[in-house]
Amino acid sequence: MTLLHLAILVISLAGFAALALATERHAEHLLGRLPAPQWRLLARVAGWLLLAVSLALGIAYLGSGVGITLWLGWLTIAALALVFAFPKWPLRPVDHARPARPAKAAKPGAAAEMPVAPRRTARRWLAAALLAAVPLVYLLALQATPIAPLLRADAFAGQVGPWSFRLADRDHDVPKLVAMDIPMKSYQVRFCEDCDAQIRAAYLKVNKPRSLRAAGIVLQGTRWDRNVDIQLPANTTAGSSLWLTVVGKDGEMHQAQVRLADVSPATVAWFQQREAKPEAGPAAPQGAIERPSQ
Amino acid sequence: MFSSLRQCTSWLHTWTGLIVGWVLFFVFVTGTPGYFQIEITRWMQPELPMVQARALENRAASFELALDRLQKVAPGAAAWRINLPHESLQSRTWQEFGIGWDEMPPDGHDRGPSGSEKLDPATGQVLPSGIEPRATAGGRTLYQMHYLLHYMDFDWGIRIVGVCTMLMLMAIVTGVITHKKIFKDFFTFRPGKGQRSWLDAHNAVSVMALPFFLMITYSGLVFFLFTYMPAGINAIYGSDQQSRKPYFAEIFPEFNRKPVAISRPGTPLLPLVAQAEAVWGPGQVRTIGVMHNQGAGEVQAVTLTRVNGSALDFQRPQTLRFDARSGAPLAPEPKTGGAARTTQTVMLNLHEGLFVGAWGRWVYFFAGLLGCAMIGTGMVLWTVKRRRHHLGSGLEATEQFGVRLVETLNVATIAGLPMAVAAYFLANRLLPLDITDRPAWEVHTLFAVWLGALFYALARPLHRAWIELFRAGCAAYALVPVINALTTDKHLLNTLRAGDWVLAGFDLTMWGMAALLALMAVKVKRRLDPSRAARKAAGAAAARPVTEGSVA
Repeated sequence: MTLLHLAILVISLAGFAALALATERHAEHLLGRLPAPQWRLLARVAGWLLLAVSLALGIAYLGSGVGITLWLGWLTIAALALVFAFPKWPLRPVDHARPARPAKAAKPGAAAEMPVAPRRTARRWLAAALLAAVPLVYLLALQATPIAPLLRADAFAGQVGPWSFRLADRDHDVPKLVAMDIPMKSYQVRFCEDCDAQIRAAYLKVNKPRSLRAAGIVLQGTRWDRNVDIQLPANTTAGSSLWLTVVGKDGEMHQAQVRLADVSPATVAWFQQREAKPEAGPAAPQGAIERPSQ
Repeated sequence: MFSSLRQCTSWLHTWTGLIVGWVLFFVFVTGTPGYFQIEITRWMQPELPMVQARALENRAASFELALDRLQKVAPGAAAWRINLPHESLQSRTWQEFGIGWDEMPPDGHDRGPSGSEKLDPATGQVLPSGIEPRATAGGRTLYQMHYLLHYMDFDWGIRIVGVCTMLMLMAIVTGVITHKKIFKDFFTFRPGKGQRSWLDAHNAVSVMALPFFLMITYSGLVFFLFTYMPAGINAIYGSDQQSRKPYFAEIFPEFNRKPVAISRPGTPLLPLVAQAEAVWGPGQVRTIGVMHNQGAGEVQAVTLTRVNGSALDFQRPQTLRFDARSGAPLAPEPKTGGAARTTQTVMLNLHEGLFVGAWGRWVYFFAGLLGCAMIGTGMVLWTVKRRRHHLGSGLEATEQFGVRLVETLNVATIAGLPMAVAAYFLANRLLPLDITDRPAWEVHTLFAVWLGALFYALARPLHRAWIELFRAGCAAYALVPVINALTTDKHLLNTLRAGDWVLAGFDLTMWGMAALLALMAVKVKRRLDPSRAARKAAGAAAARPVTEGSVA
C-alpha cells in the first residue's frame, strides 16, 4: 500500500513538473533557457500522460471511487510541493526585475514626516488586566470545582442483592425544570467491578416500583459511569426514597432503597419550600398529567 | 453598482470571506484533527494498555463457546452477534472476541434492550469490561466542535456553521471567477513580495486543493440537509415526529423490521466463515449475526458481515447470508434506500474520509491544514490590502478602526487558536483526575487560552503579538510530548519501542506542529521586524537603482 501511494505521488510530481516545463515562464525558469516549441509540446503530452498513469494506478488498486478521491489528494500535494519548491530552484535566472517600489522609509528625512504613533496605553492596560484575569478566573473556578460525584464522601455506599454499589447525586443543586416544569435529577451509579459483568440492567426511580415493568429509567453508560436522569414526582417529600432495581443476567431481581434526603438534601429542601408556597405547587402535577397527551 | 461580473464576484468573495472567516478557521482547525479523532481519544486515555492483536486459535471451539454463552444469557433474543477479532477502518483499533444481543422488545416497545460481553476465546469466560480510563472529552469533542461549535444549543450550532458553510461555498465559487488567471498562473509563487506573495500563496493553496474545498463545503451542507431545508419533507410527510415515521420507514426499512425470537443455529458456523473467507480473504469476517431473515422467505439466517473496507459506500459493508438450519446460501440482502440514499451516504463518507487507510487519512489531514492556510492567508490579505502602514512601523494604531479590529482578531485566531488546541491536549494530562466534569474542563481550557490570546493581541503591538503568539504556540505543541512523558508511561520511549504508531505518531505530530508554528514565527518575524525591514529597504535603495516599472 505504501508503495502504491508513493508511486501515485511521484508519478504525479513528474507529471506536473513536465506540465510546468511546457509553459514558457516556468521552462525558462527551470532550464535557464527557453526550449523549442516541439519540446514544450512533448512535455505537455508527457505531463498529461503521467497524470493519467497515476490516476490509472489509483483506480486499478483502490477501486474507482477511493482511487479518484486519493488521486486528487495526492495531486494537491504534488502540485503544492512544486509551487513552493520552484522559487528555490538554483537555475533560476538572476531576477533583477524588482518593482520600482521606492523605499519610502529610507528616504532622508522620512522619519520626520511619519506621524507619531499614538500611545493607546489605556487600551493596552485594560487588555493586560483582562489577560491577567483569564488565568485567575480559570484557576479560581477550577479550585471551586468539586470532586467527581462518586468519589465524594457523601456518595451513598450500599448493597443490592449480592452486589455492592455507590450512588451519588450528580450535583448538589436543586432539580432542573424541563418542559412543563417537570423537575429532573441526574444520578450516577457504579457497581463493583466483578458485579457489573453479572448485571443485565439497572433502573432507578423515586418511590417503590409496583412491578418490574415500572421499575423506572434504565441506567446508561460504561461500567464506571452508569448514569440516569429521572423525573421527580410532585409528591416527593423528605421521606421519599430512590429505588434501585437491578436485574442480573441470571434473571434474578434485587432492589435497594436509598433515602432521597441522604443523597440529595438540596432537592428535598426544594420540595419542602415548594410545599410551603402553594401557588408554585400546581405547575408540576399539571404538567405531569398533560405530558402523555402530547 | 458593479460594471462587470468579475468586480461583483470580487466584492462578494472579499466580504463573504471576511465575515465568516474566523468561524471557518475555527471549523477547519477543529475539524482537521477530526480525521484522527479515534487516535486522539486513545492518546487522551493513557490508562488503556497498548493493543495486542490476537487471532482466534481454535475457531470452531470458540464459536461453540460463544453460542453457549448467548443461549445462557440471551435465550429467545431477537438477534445474536459474535464479533470476531478484527481491525476495521471504522474502529481503527483491534477489536477483541465478544458477543452481543438484542432482546425481544417488551410489550408496547419497538425495540428491546441490548447487551454485549467480551469473552475469553479459549474458555468462554466473560472478561471484565476493561480498565477505567480517565474522564476525557477526547478527540470526539474536538471534532464535534467543528459543526456544533460550543457553549450553545445543537440547533444554533448547526445553523451558524450552516450559514458560514454556505457563504464559504459562495466564496469558493466567486474566488475561482475573481482570480481568473488561476490556471494560467498555476505554478506561480513569488516569495518576499508582500501583498503579491500573500495573494500567490492564497491562490496556489486554494487552486491546488480546490477539489477538496468544494467537496468538503458541499458535503458539509448535506449532513444537515433536512434541518436547513425542511420544506420538502414537511410538504410530503408533515412536520411533527409522528407523521415523519413513514418517511424514515421508507428510507431505512431495515430499522423497521418486526423482531422475531431466534434459537441456536443448527448448522456449524466454521464452514460458513470459511466460505466467506474464500470470497473476501482471510480475516475479513467481522461479525456472525443470527436473526430472523425477512425478504427471502421467513427463515432464521446466519449473516456474515465483512470488515468495513475501502469503499465509498463504507457504512454498509458486504454481507453473506445462510440458512441457519441447513447452512444453504440465501439470496443477498436487497440494498435499501435507493439511489438517493446511496448518493447521500457517499457524500457524507467523502466528507468523513473514514474509508481511507492510514496514508489517505494523512492526505485528508493535510488537505484540512491547507483549508486553514487558505482561510488564514485570505484573512491576512484583506488587512494587507487595506492598511497604510507596515505593521513593523508601530503605527498600526493610526489605522482605521475596522482594519485594526480585523487585524487583532486575525492574530488572536490564526496564531492563538492552534495554541489553544495544544492547551486542550496539555489539559488532558495536567488537570486533576478526580474533578467533576473533567471533560468539560478540558474544553474550558481551550477557550480560556483562546480568550487569553485575544487579550494578548490587544495588549501588545500587533507585530509583536503575531511573533510571540506563534512562538508560544510552538512551545505549547513542543511541550505536549514532554508533559506526556512526565505524567504517563505512554511516552515516546515506550511507544516507539512497542511499535505503537498511534500513540507515538500523536507525540511526533505534536512536534511536527511545533515545527510548523516555529516556521511561521520565523517567517512573520522576517516580514514584520521593523529594524530588518528598514535595513532591507535601505540596502535595496543603495544597491540597485530602480530599473523597471512593474511586475504585476
